[in-house]
Amino acid sequence: MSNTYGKFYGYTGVFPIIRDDKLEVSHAVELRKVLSELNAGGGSIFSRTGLVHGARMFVLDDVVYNGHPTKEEHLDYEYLILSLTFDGALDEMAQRLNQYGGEELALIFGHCYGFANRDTSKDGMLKFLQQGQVTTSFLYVEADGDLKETLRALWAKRVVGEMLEKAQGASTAQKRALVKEAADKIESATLPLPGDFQLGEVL
Amino acid sequence: MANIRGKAYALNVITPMKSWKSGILRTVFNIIKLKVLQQDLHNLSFIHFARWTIIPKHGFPHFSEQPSRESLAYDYLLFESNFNGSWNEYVDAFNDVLWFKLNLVWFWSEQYPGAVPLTPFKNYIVHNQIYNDYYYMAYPGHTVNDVKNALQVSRKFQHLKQACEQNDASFEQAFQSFLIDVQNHIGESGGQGPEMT
Repeated sequence: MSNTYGKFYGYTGVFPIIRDDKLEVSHAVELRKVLSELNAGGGSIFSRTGLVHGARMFVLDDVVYNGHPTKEEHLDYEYLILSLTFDGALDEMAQRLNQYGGEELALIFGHCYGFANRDTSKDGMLKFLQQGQVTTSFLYVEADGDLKETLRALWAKRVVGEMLEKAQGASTAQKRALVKEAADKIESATLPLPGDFQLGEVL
Repeated sequence: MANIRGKAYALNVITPMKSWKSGILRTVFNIIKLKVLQQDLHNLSFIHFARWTIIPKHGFPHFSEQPSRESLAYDYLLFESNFNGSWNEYVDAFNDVLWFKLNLVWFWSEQYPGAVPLTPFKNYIVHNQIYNDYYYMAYPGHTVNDVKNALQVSRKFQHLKQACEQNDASFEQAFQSFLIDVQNHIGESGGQGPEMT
């Protein structure tokens, strides 16, 4: 199984979308609207978990026909595909989603089978995610920092750059003071929310 | 468009595959999992993360509330990648450097034309690509190289910080070594990035 790559977990979820022919607007159409309006920046559902490096969701309406001699076939259901790359293990992720998912969880997964009737205990979200999970066959992650380290490092790079600029022509004592000042600035910084574009503006 | 978030693009491609070929492909994945065989991917250095997922024809998740189960003839191979740059640049570079591995993986999919020549390969990707409805990146203003550089600078800075406690000569030496080590890794990053097509 390749759900993991070092310290990272690659979750792939395939959730069948509720089929209800009596509805004027299908669940799949409603879900697409929800996803298109969902916050994808700082403070969004995946940002709040504090673990997710990348996430994507899309509605799979049907499979693609590749022409003769391939056999043409169609899905009985539409599916919500959810892919997450995050730090740690799935149980921790499920717990964070349960804790910080807020109303977005129901807005998204309320259109899928199994969510409304899920076990509402603390393990309910984990069971739901596991039930919709398909094992990732091959996962690759380029950088090796966890989310917290990565965000702090991106801020540190900027601070160090400024420090080196000031240190040009400085005495050893001045350089030592600049290094200590930079270290304090890095350690005391309030990190930006994951998902935000700018580092400096929010610190 | 939800395929783009800042400097990152999210690509999804799903292709049909005969079930008996899935076993072979799993073996291929087990081989290319060896990190020594991933050096060319590392060298490309514009893929944040990528994954391949085989969804077996009987492996589509089923919940008890569903009236029926899927009945399919093919397994499906889902490819997902998060990379910096445009779709064209990615597919060109991916194809140029990784054509052999692409063939190893996609060879088992129906109607796959091969990675070379490029035009039929691109047509195949376009035909089987599914657009995202939602895309989130934790550090959307930063490329893979920005992140790798930042981690390198940050980790080396910890050593320099410790050197503050040493005498002047040792500290000065540590400072010069640090400067040499990081001078090519401190370029500014962040922001929305150029508009991608």
